[in-house]
Amino acid sequence: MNVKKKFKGLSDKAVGWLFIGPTVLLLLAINIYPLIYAIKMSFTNFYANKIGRVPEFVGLKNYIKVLNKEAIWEKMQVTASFMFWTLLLQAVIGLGLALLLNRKFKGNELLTTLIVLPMMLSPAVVGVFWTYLYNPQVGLFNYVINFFHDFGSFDMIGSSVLAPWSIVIVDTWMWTPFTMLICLAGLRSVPNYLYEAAEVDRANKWQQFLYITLPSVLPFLLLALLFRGIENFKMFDMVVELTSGGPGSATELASISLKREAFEKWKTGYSSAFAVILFVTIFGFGNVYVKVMNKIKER
Amino acid sequence: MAKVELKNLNKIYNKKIEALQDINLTIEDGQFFVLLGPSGAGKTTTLRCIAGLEKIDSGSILFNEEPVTEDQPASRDVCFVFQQYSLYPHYSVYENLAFPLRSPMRKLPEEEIKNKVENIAAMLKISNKLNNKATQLSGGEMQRVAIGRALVREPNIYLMDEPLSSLDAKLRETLRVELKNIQTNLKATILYVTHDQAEATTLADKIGVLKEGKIVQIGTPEEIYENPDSIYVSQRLGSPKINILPSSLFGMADNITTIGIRPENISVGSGQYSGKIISVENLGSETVVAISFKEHEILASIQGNYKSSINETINFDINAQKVLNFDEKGNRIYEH
Repeated sequence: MNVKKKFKGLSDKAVGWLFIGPTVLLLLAINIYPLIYAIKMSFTNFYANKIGRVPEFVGLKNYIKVLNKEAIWEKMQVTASFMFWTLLLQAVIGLGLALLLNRKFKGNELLTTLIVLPMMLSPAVVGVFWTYLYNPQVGLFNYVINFFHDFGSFDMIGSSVLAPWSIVIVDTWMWTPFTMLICLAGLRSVPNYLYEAAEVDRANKWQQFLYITLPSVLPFLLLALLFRGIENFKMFDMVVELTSGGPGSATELASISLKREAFEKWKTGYSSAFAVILFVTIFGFGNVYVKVMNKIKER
Repeated sequence: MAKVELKNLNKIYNKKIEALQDINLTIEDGQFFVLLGPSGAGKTTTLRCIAGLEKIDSGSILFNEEPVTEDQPASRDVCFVFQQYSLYPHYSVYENLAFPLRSPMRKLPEEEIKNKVENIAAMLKISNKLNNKATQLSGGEMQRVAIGRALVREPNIYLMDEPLSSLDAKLRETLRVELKNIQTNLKATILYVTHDQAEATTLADKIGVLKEGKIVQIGTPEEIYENPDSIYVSQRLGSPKINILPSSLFGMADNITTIGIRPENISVGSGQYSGKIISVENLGSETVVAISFKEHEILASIQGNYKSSINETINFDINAQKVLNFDEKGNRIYEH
């Protein structure tokens, strides 16, 4: 009877807290606290470079200023178009590559490894070496394009028309392997007998894709796009290295603009409001997206 | 429906496993043909070869005298009911049943598809489940849908791979009866694979017994039961199992090494032999008595409820006319 009482150890719950405690503390310190601090700052006219000056409470003024600024909406548009094209291209090419790699052929594994390589590089490094590839005089990219069709001299990074595409291309090059890998996992989960049943039922390849492959792989693809969407909404390092947001502000994504407001113009209170707006936006979109994704999964 | 013939069919897996060896069989139009054999005998492989899901190494497959050996599964126009349901998981029961009718090779108007699907659903008693998702069904319902998906079409042949094996006993029995009724009504040609002897005897017009990739005997269920060509075949059918005993027990001719006696051909109570009762199993309509005789166990099946107790000494006799004689290789010896 008293065995339980005599045994004085930690309860399961206590052990659990012991394990997650450090992580929770770390999260509170470097994620949650700054977030709450930023929210607080967003209601003040705080300037981080003006030492000794006591920030004043200004209410919603910063938010009104951000939302009324036309330039901000331009940045949002740049971000939205960047996200739209990267996600579309990564979904289509990623799924296509996954379908190809799902077949059995010699060298399949080697090819998969090679395709996945770009994903393992540092975004900053990718940004830097693509500036060389895009170089109008000696760049390989321009050389290859002109090899197939002579467009003459063109500057992917320098032209305000081409620059948005230059970052879309690099991001797609780098992250398509990610959607591909996740799609591949989805494809591998489809049992082969479904295809056999469909074949006996006289379905053609297109119907097999539509009825079996696509519905099975769709939840996986949507999940990959969720990750990519969140990442690209915050995209910073690669684009800064590649175009620094230029020329002009052709590739100035919301996050780059935010960094300029916060750490070049030192408008800390104002940029905090901007950051909170960005956070709410991605959080809201993310939640809606997850709801839709779960609906599709249930189907 | 079609007459289906297999001629000298050979199938080798991975260049060394001879899955099928020289298979010859004819399934007449409208016949319910059952392939019987233990797992690994090549039953499923035979079905897959006919469907075109496996390439054969030699031999030929004929539908109505026309060779289809080189044809793709779609152009062979067969139906396949898989052992593992294989419903399209993202679609409703209705969509699953309609799927084969939506094939580009048979484009039917939507109205006709609806009629056919509803008819089949009524026949299989799943009308109320048509809007359910395929994954929301019980095992029995799933298999009905899988069978229904085959029955909506009128193919050359229905190929069924142990469709009832994963269901519980009661459901299996019900579906078995339904399947036979449906087959009789539609005059369907069916090749049905099973290792269950009850399914084989109740469903089949003809049974083909498979052993390690070879057909060892083809016949009606009665022929297979009454006149097996070998010990192997004799053991495929009959419950309780046939008694396989050394012939010396009863003093038979020299060339006979083994005899087979079905339990119902052994009478107890009186007779020239006597043994000790090891166990008594009362099954209601019959009683199975296990008798120890010269260190061998003999099963006798007696009509009705037979009262006896274990370790009791009992006299018994064998019906000499029904004794099956086998040589040392296990092949049947016919006296005539």
